[in-house]
Amino acid sequence: MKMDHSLPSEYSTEQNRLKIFGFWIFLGAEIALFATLFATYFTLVNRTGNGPSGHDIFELTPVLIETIVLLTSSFTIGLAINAMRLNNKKAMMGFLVITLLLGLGFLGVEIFEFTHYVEIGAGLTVSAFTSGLLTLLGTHGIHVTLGFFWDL
Amino acid sequence: MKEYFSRFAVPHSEPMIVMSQIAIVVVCIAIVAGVTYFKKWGYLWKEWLTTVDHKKIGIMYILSALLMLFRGGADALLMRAQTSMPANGLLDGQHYNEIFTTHGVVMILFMAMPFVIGLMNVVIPLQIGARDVAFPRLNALSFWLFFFGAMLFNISFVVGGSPDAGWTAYFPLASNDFSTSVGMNYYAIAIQIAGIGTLMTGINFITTILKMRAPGMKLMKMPMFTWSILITNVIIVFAFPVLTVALALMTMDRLFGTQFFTMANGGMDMLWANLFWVWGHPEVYIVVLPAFGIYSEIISTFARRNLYGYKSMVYSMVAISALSFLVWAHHFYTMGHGVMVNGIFSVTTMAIAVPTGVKMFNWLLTLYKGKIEFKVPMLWAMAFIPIFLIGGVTGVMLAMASADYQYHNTMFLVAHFHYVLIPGTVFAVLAGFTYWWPKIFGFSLSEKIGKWSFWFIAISFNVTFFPMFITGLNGQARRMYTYSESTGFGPLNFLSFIGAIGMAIGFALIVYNIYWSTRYAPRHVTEDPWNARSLEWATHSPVPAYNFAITPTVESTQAFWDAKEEGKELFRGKYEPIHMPSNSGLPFIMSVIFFVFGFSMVFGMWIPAIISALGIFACMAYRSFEKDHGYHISVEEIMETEKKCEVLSHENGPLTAK
Repeated sequence: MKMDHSLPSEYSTEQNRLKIFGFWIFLGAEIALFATLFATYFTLVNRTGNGPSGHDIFELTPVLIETIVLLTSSFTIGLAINAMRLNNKKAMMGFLVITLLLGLGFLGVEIFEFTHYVEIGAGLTVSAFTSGLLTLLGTHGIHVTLGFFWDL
Repeated sequence: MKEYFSRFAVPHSEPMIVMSQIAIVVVCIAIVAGVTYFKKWGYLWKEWLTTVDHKKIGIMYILSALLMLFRGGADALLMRAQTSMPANGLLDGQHYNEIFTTHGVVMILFMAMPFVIGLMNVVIPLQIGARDVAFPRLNALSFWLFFFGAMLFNISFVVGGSPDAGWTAYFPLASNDFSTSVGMNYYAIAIQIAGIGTLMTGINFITTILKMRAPGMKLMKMPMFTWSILITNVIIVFAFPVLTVALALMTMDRLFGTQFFTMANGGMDMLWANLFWVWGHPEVYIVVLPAFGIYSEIISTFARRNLYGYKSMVYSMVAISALSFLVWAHHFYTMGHGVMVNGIFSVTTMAIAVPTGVKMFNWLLTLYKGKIEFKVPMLWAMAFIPIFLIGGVTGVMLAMASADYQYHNTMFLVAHFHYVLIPGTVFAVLAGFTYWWPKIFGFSLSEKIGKWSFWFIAISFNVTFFPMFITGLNGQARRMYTYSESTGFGPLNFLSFIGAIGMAIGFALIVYNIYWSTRYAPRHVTEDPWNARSLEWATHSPVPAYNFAITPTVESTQAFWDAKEEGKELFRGKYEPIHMPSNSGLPFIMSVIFFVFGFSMVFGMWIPAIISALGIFACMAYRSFEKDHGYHISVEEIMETEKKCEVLSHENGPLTAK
């Protein structure tokens, strides 16, 4: 297999370069996917039927925690890749473990949030608004879960 | 026990469906028995079910598409037969609803798209001088997901009931309240599975075309078919996620009681119409743009002229692809948006006629002063231009929102989109199929039978669909299973029925042509039967597993033509071992599990659904840890294969037929 050492290690073979490029296109498709979900959510946001509105149910503390946790995990996985490029296996594994823990933390808070929504009467089937909200969040949650298992 | 199985019964059973159930079982037994009797299981598994070769995957796509063409065609014949006379009793309303629904879905998603994808699989790597696609195994997965998605959709009419809310599946009609059978579950889940495969195809071919072209083939030196496929796949990648979401929301509404498209609790039925057509209109261009590419290749080959206006061809396709995302609301002008919205969508819709017109003139100017040779592929292309023009002009008529209130939901619309899609896609794939057949198999299809089928289809097409323009303007609504004699629609509908029979004969002749030519056509007459221009003709026919022994070097848009006319060296360098991907059973197995998963979801059988979902994840996990570096074809083996191919072609004349 031909190796090109002038590039970062994940780009060193032709097949890897193709895979990375393909993944960028996949991310393009993912943007379209989430854009559609967001469009759906914003179309339905005021259509609450007999259920609660966003104003009634949103709490900022878990949202803040989730945001900080996720952004930190993006940073630590970046550090892991940097460690990989420097051929530092130990540091890479360390950062990956931290990333995974942060991912788990996020999922934990999200599961808590979901059960809370169901408890206060904002379950999936209550209104178009709750369907849209929980599907959007749930799809993201599935992405984090899949990413977590793929990372393992 | 009986209660458990009663869910699989067809709700509106009638003799025709019982006969199909029996026929399907008999055919399945016959296939299994036949393969066992001829001891072909090993061959089937090793050469086809596990293959990652883009050429074989392409052939399987095309075969499945032909199969689906006949399924959709049978639906079409039944519809025309039912409406051939006023107050006809061949089908009842429910059965008619099911048939026009499956006709639409099958023809668009399981015939037109896989036919196009099949041709691109066979041709694109050859046309850009590559060894295979970027991700061969993903390609196999794409095919098998499409195949099992299509099969899942097709069993609906014998197990549990067909979808019956039209191929557009508008809510609230498609909701549990109004579509009570599992039919619409089939719709949501089968199309989802096939759609995932299509999205992967999109990613795969964009990567292939952008990253794997032969040295020297700059973007603006790609053949026009490659350009059309690149743009098509960009549309796929941005349009299909919208369908994925729409179908997922539909599934959740039907299976889990969410409120997206409901009539109460804030649900919004129009959201479905919008999401569907945000995907649906680009989808039209997904099947039409490759056709433009095929025609560009064929017209330039058989007019013996370089394609006129190369750059404007490319820019017009880019313009069409951008506009395709900006016109979706024209599918429902009458469903309550204001003057402003209708006005804007009218303008964007009419704007599409401009780049399409540019392409029309380019083709005409390519023909101008050309030495035109009317071989079968060229006949299709020549019929395309005037017929598609009628489709386009009636499209501009429909684009005018205020006038559309008159045509909306009439047979005029049905005539319009058949005038666009049949010459725009069906003629094109048949032309491409005839054109590239000798490349795939090493012999040509019979010109004589090909011409018969061409004339049958081209004439019968107009006999079938032109009357609909008239009955439509006179007020005949589409999707109505019957009408009274006093409407006066009878004679023209009968004429349509006669045309439909003519088309059926034409399509049967195509199958007969395949049979006849496979048995009797002369083999290995030449590697380049059409005196063509692009790279796919520079290698042997049938193409060796590795495509090109030496990667070609390209200097213009018609590299092979230059090699023939100006003696430019295409293959510079020497033989080197070639790296090949190994076969894998994983895509097939994973798609079978997807089928089981889909089937369980359709009937809300949660335990098998969860088990098969875990199976899918297990396959993905296995793939992540699998070490597969492929294998190498040695220089000696390449030389041997090349020699064999050359002996065959020398026995039958020189490489190029001037």
